[in-house]
Amino acid sequence: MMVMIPRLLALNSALYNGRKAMSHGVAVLGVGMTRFGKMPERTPEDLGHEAIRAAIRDAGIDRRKIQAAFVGSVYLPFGIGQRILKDLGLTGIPVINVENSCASGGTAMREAYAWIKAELCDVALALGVESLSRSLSSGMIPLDLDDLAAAMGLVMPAAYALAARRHMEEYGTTPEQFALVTVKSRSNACHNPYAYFHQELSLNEVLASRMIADPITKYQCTVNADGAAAAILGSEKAARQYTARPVSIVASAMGSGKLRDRICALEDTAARIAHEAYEAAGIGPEDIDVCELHDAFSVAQVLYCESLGLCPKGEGGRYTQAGHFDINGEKVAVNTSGGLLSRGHPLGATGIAQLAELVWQLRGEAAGRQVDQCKVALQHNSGGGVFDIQTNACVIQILTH
Amino acid sequence: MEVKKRQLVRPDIFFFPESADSPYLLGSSCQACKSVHFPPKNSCPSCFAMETERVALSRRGTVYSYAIVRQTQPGFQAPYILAYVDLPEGIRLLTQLTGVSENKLSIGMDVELVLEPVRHDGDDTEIIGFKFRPL
Repeated sequence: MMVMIPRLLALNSALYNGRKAMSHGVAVLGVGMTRFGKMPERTPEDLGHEAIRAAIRDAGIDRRKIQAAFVGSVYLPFGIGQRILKDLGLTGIPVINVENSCASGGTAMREAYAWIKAELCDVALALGVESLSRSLSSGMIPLDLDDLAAAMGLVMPAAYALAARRHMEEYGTTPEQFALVTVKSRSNACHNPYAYFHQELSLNEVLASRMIADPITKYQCTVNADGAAAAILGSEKAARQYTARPVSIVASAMGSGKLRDRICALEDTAARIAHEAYEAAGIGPEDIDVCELHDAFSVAQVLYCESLGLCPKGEGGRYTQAGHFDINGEKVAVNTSGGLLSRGHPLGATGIAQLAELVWQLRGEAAGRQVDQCKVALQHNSGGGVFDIQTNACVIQILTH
Repeated sequence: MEVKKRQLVRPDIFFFPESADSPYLLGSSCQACKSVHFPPKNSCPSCFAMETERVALSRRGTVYSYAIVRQTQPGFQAPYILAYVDLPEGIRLLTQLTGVSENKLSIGMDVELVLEPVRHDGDDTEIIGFKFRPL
């Protein structure tokens, strides 16, 4: 197992950060979400209301305690946050709408975190919401043809297929190992009431589904969805006041990819941001019990497990095959919710749905898919689209109970 | 479909020398730090200098990775082969491979530049891009 920080140092650092956290720590007071799926009959307002009410109920606070709101979406019209909040009586407060590609939800949450950390407010709402049934006419996310890579024929699945082919060549990863990610994902999602898919898929079914960009088949791609997820974040003071079971955000790191036309300047953006998060938390990848990462494609889960240090470089496929990323497997439970592959991907809502899953896991409330002895969680939310850089936005957060 | 117009995918990335029939791709080279970028930039992303010059890039490179695209955006005709090709200047560019069958594809293969249509825009316009074919 690759260790990024020696354990002893990690523990010392954890104590140091623990003291520091006494003054400006940030906690998750409550989470809530809608089920993800195709719901063209439901408005974004309706979806948002359900998620926000669930989060407020979960936090057990009066809605008037919310002092700021951050709302992530990609395709919804300007002012979507204000539009959703007005009928819940959440008016008059600062409302900040966030677009950051598929990491819009994670970004909204990190902004709420940052405001609390900076003592601009005590309690903040982070909402992610999307209705792709209403916003998009076709299945594939349309790309801007002014982007030269897109103009030359790059599409999202192909970007991951290029990475997959190289991984197969360098490390001997097989198409079956990639496909097993979906098998595990569907199996986990069967126990998640909020997931789009509640049906198992066999390895053969995954491999035999339509080829999209070799070796990625249809069932190895995420699916467009509608839905909303919300979280109430608070200062440690607010946490003590309002909840008996807060989850602490011990690190929140974020960055964007660097220009990648020159081979000498190439980097693994997720690995860089993960390193920052581990350093800030004084926690190493070996301490993580459960992880929600951004698997828009099966291949992405294999690659990101390596970037996040959950397995050595090149071993993602073999670890998947060995069941090391299964619930209560040998190593880290990865995407117990079903992830983007099986929970579905309403772009702006995904980052906060990931957070919700981790909060439930840490509190021991993930019935049917609960990880034993779950104490430390890692979230990775990522969004692309500008192909000259590896990622538009990468948000990595570490949570403890 | 009858093609009436042909258009370059981007006008500023090609160089057609008068003396030869083979076109080149254009990068930018920074006057100050000498770093080369593609597509060409008017100022240097590496050192922030304002002065860059256009340089013709090598017409030959090697395949870093490839992907067979079977579902794509409107205007493109699947299947086609996308690839990252590495040039001797230290540039990795996203391109398409042509003139090679799927079972002959391999990472590390040597390829050279050709100009070919990559998609249609509307009913009558063909968009010409840069592709690479095996040597």
